[in-house]
Amino acid sequence: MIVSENYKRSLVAFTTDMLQSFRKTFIIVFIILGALPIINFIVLISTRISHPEAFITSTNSILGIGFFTMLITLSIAFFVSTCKTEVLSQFVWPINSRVYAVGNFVVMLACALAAVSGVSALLLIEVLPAMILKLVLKDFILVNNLTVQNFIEGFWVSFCHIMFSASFSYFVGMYFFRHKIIIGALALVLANLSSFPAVRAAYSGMYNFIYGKHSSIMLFSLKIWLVILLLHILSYIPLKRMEVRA
Amino acid sequence: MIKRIAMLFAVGIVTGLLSSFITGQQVSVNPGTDMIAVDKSSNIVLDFTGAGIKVEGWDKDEVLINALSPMIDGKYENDRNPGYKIVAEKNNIRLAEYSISGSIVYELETWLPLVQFEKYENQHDGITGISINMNTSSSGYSFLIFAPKDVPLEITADRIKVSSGCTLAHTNAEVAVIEDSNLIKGFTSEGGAVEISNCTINHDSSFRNKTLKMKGNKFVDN
Repeated sequence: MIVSENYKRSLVAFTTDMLQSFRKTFIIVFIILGALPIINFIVLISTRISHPEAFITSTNSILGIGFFTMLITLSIAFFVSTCKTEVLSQFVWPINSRVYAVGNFVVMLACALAAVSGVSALLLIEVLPAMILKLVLKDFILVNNLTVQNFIEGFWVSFCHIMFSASFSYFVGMYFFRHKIIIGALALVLANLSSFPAVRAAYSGMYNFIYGKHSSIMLFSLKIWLVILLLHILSYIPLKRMEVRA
Repeated sequence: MIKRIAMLFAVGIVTGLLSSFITGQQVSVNPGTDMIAVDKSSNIVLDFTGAGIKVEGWDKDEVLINALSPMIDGKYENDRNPGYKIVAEKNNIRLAEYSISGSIVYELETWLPLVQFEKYENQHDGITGISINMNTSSSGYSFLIFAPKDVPLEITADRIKVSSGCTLAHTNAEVAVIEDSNLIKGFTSEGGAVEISNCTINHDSSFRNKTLKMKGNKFVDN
């Protein structure tokens, strides 16, 4: 019970500390993302003023841009977080390898959730000016591709993709920073093997397994979460051997 | 920290749902077609001032007007938000209350990763940012009109493209491209640039255009 209580306390402390360190990154990215629709509308209005006869279409999407930005940001962040200096700075008693592994998984979940939630919240910055322009300009046509269903399904699918991408970066980083030469050489070999049709077909199969066309969101979710868990389990192997500093 | 993430999640979900509610239903700018019966004994007057039109000849005694969607692939439904009205009085066909020209179309897109599912795969054409077209539609033409081949046409529009055996009596446009057509006796052309190729042109035709280009035409006396 005491061990369990300690473990719980360590996990909370670790995840809170990790999330605090992500806060600044999130704020900067969200500010930049929030500015994009505003800039877009300024450009739109100034174009309208300078070319009143022009037919203007705008398909900037905060959900699409936000998704990609958060996917890349979190993938880089989790890759960098596995470098030796970062790991050693976190790996201090009572944080052991189990707390670190579970903590990183929880932090990743929280970050991915915060990413899609934050991007969704920024949607208001895109929608409100569009609604105002629709009221003010009689020639403003708002084509709405957003429905309750595709928003919720997209929220979940985007969350899954961000989790997968961050987990993959975490997994690669965990091995790469521990065995730079071996992993570097292995990456080169694997890249060169793609010239063989059978290997290329295997790569293509793996890619399609994750990113290929899916008929059902349930099936996709099942596959991607299996892969995410597998990536975290594999990432735990090099962690197990690491020592805890006193 | 967990409370903050939970709050952000709640705000995100509420914002997304609210956005999908307040913006309303999907809107179309592609209004569909009009079929107009005409009298073959007199000229057909097409006044589409403010728009770009493509005119093709056919063997029927009617004029068919197809509104081309300003969207690239015409993926929207055809029955909402017409943005124009066709007024037909005998052989005089006029475009009225035209609002597609000079419009801003803002597309509110949903999540990009949904394209990997069958039911959403046609939802996105990618994020293209702001696209400005100085003409009235993405292709430069807002209407595709089919007119009887043997009835002379008098056409006024911002941009005209005529092909497929039309008979022409008059054109007035900033840009006119005329192909495979018959320019009858007394034909007149006014406006900016005109380009005529592979047509039969009566010698008794007059061109009052800023520029005139001709290629592969056959000139006849009558």
